[in-house]
Amino acid sequence: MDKKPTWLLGAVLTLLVVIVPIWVLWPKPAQPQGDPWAHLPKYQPHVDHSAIIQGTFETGQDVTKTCLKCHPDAAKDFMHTSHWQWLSEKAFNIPGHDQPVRLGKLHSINNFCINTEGNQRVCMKCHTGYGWTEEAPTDFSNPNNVDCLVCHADPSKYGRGEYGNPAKGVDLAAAAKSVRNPTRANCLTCHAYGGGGDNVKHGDISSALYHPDPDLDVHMGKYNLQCTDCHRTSHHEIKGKLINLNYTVDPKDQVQCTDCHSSAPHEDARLNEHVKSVACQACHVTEVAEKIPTKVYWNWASAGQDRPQNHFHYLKIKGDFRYVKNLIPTYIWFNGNEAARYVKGDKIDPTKVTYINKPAGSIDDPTAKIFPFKIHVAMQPYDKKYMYLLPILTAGVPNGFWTKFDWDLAFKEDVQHTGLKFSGEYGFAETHMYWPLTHMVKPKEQALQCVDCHGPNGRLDWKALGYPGDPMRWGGRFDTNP
Amino acid sequence: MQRKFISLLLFTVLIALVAAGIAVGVRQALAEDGPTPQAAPSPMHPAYALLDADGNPVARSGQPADLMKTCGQCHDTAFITSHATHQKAEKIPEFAGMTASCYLCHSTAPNGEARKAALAGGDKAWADSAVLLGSGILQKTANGWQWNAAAFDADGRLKPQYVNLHQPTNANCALCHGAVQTDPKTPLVLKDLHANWTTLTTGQVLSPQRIAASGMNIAGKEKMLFAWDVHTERGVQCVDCHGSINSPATRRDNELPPYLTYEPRRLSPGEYLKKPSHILHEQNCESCHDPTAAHKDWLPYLDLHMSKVACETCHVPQLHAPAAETFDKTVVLPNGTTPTVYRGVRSAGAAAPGADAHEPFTVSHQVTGFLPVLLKNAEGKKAPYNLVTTFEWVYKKDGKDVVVSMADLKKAWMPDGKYAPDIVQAFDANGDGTLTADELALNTPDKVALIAKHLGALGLDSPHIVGVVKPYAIHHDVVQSDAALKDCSACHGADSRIGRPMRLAITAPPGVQPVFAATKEVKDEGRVVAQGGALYYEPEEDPDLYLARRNHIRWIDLLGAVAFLATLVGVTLHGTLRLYYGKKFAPQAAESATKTEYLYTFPERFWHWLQMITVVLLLIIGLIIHEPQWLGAFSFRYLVLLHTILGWILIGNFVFALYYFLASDYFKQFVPRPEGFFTQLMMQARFYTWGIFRGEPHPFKKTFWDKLNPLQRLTYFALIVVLLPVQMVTGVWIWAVRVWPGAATLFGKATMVWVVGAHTLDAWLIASFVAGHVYLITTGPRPLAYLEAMITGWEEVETDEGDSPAA
Repeated sequence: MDKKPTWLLGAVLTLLVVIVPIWVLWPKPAQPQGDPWAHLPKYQPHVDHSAIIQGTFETGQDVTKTCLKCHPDAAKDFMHTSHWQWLSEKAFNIPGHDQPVRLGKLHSINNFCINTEGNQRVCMKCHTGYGWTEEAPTDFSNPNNVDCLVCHADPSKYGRGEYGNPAKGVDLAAAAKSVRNPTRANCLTCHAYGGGGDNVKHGDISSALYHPDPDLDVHMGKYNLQCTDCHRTSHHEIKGKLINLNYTVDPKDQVQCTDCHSSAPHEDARLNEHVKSVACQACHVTEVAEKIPTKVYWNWASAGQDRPQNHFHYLKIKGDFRYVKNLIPTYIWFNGNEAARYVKGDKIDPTKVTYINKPAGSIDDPTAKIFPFKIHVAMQPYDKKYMYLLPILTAGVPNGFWTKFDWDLAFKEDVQHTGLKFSGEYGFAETHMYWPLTHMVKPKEQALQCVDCHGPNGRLDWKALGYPGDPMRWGGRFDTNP
Repeated sequence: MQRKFISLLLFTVLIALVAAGIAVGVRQALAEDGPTPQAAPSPMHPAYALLDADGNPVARSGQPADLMKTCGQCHDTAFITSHATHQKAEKIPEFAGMTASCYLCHSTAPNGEARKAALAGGDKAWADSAVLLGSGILQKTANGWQWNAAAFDADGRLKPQYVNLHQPTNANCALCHGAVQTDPKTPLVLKDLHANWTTLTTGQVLSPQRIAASGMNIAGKEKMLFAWDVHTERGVQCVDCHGSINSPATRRDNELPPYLTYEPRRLSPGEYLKKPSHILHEQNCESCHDPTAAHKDWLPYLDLHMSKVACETCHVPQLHAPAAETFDKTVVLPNGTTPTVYRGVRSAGAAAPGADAHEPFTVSHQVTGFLPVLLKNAEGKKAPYNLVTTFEWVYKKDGKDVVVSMADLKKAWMPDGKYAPDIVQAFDANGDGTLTADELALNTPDKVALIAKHLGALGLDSPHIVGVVKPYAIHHDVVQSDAALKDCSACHGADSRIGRPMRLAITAPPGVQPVFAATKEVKDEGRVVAQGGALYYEPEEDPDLYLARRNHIRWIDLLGAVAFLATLVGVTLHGTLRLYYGKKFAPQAAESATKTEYLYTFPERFWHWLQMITVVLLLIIGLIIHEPQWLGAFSFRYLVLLHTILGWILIGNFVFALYYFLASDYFKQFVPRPEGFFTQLMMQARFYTWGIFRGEPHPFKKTFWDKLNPLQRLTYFALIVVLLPVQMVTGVWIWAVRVWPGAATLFGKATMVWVVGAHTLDAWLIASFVAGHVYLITTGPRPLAYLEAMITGWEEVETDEGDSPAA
């Protein structure tokens, strides 16, 4: 009478015989190529400060004092950053300079509004501190001068006026109660309006990114990513500055697509082959300035004339412009560094184009990739005797160009701020400035297609890039003889 | 490797020369201060003189250029025109008078319109030269055509910057062949379909642009994020597939014996340029692709699919542009044209959605696209086509039907440029004295007779209407895997694309049955059928092609379902009676002693339960595969895989059991014993129909060696010897077609119809067995006693052996 439950064994065995072959033979789905979401930083929900902040505030500094009570290191950390110093942390060895140079808005010359020195009244609207005036630069050692609110307050409750001080009528207590992690709106307050207007400078950063369509920017539009999701921040040091404040860049200090995405993300091997020579942005930032036009040309020489004015064509204070909508980028080799950088006081040759900056890289540089750029061309003043680009007193009062429309006065008056002598003779020279395009990434369905670059109507100039011809037919730069 | 290298080298050298030329040319063009011509100059082609018919430079004579003479200075134009397919094109009525001209295909931005205008104006002499209008070489002034002296040098040769000859680009082909777009940025808009012959006849649009980005009003286009044609999107040019057959740069390996992979003996570039063949390659998919490599990982029945279905059938699943459905050349519209009906487009303001347009196509029409009809091509594969039906008047001439010319037709309808009064009277439905497009239809025999009378009056002998159905093959507008047809049920199902008819005409002139015009490429022998006033083409039903899930034999399902339902009804009835009588008669067996006996060994039970699981799953999955419309939520592809795996487990289990029962002699219990078998059978039958209700004990007592009653022996024997083996053999057969397509026609064309039919019928019978079996196991001492026995092996059996006649 063996009544052992052998049937249990049988049941298990029977099921195994059915399940195991199915499990073994079932088609296995291809392993997904890494999950981009897994790489996004996880933020703690921000503490609601509306109950924590008490009382009223007379000045911005009062607010900062309150912040520092609980965040004692915040200002100290922040004061090391370029957001505060308007200078790069590192100094770079730039050809033509004996000493390493620190780059930054503090004393740089670009080909938009030219220079900040002397023009602090307006320029400092975007400096993250209070009270940086012409005569007395912000007390760099006083942590109370850090403006916490511009990055952390709800921008609808806060605004800034002259010299970076809070705008008149701002309810500082309400602003302070609204603080949270910075959103796109905080960053765009300054970064979308550089150069004196919406999307004037970057081309790929404009007010359109407040509420972007998925088709305008897949990260911010479709998935509502914030700037800080990619520009990750540690102790107020924000990652990713490309060539803005760099001459050479350590790739690890850079925001890369591969921070989240695989380096071979396409199904088609031929597309993945492109990665060696083509930056992701080249195909996925197909065009910029689709909503807001961006400035590509600025002729200072015609400023000061009494002509009909229009934001997009001519302003008496600035001269003639050309804006472009749906800008098709210029594609050049770029290895992340710069090949040229204009530093205040550098000599120029006015018969040639002066490069405010120039990306480094060539077809012979294996680390360089084809990268999309916006090029801003300007005619800007230079000193005919000293042969350098001239800073201008523009927004400065009372003798700035924007008030008096007198070039001589504007140059002369700025000498005290810049230390650069003005000979009395000036002309206008052509300068070029390169803006890497890396935002406004399109969904994959709108990425460039083969024929956008290859074939008779392609947008790439293969010869200018150094290829003998279209690499689809001629072979790529890494091809070897089989 | 060698072959690849040489061809690569050759190709590279050619391309290098071209590009170097382009570079030099561009630099020259930029350096030139004078008026720059529109087109970039040709990098390769040397400067040449345009010659007139007498061989004199036109720059001096001012005569029209003769391209035979001009191009004949270096190229063998007589050779080229002797065979060029494009030259022969003018024999096609639609291209009448449009001789192919060298410039039309070989120059940048040729002026096709000027050429057409010249031909239409009877200016045939200048037609070839007219293509150059706008290139800076030729001008048209009030005094007629004039060569621009500035374009020629002192010897009458064209200056280099005016030479813009090259191999044909997509733009050249687009001039005649339909919507070919070269610029991916400008939203594509089809305007005049009649100027785009290929699009008009097939709906094909060759553009790298994503359909979603096109400028057309295409239903659901926002989801069409794929290009009109993937090859165009990937930068494949027309001439890449349709190049000269003797070009040294193209491969010609197809006629090689199998042990050779490369043909190194080729024309030198010089020989080729002297006599370039103008017969063009018609490369097929396999010229570049290896379909096996692309599909082997997932497509079941790969060889079968490849041998029965053309690549285009799945990779051109739908056309997204309108195409012609009917050319009605029996009627002349007020504007002097004949009506065309389009498919794949909704009439503007059409009451019925989906109604095809029978007015000139404009951009305001909503394009719905259309599914091509699948016809058997020359290789015997089902391939996509569009069918265009033409109704036209013919008359007898020398005993043959001759098509009435457009001029005669117009004369018959509008003798004085106006509709004849009796025609107005006959066709004016609303009586307003004028005829409109929708009134102009030959929809009654009287109206046909009236027009025939008018044609007869022109001296045409016995005019009558004929209809011709022409198939136009679809090879372009290819989509890649993401957008290709991957839904098995598109063909394998009741609403299969295979055999689906295509409408030929919304209405047809009374009594006219159009004839299918077979071509070399189409082997389809379908038929034209009329339905509800419209005409349809029903593709040939291919007896060679057994389509799983489509070609069912209906009566098998009917028979099987009846057997299964009868079993269900029977056991339900029996069970009800048992319950009813169970209360009336106390079971007599209750008094007899029982003992617990070990009846089923472990392997027996294992075999039974494994078989039970597999059979039940196979039946359920089989039913879903068989009738997907009932349970369509499941993926056909995965269900087939599951069915196959379970089928092999069933077979493995069967082999295991066979070995076990044979080796152990246990099989004897299944074999009906001949002596007294019939009597015993009757006893068991009597028990089930009578005794069981009265509470009588089972007529036969179970022992380990004799546990099956005679009825069971018969049923199980049938199951093991007939039902299961038939199911396994037919199942393996269906599976085997995947690896051995010959199995599908082993016993003639209808093999699979009967193999699958047997599998289906057998499945119904096995299902009936399962139903009866599950009921009968409740007839033990307790309803679950037998079930428990099959689980534990131990069963309560009656011990009163004296009652058992079988003992």
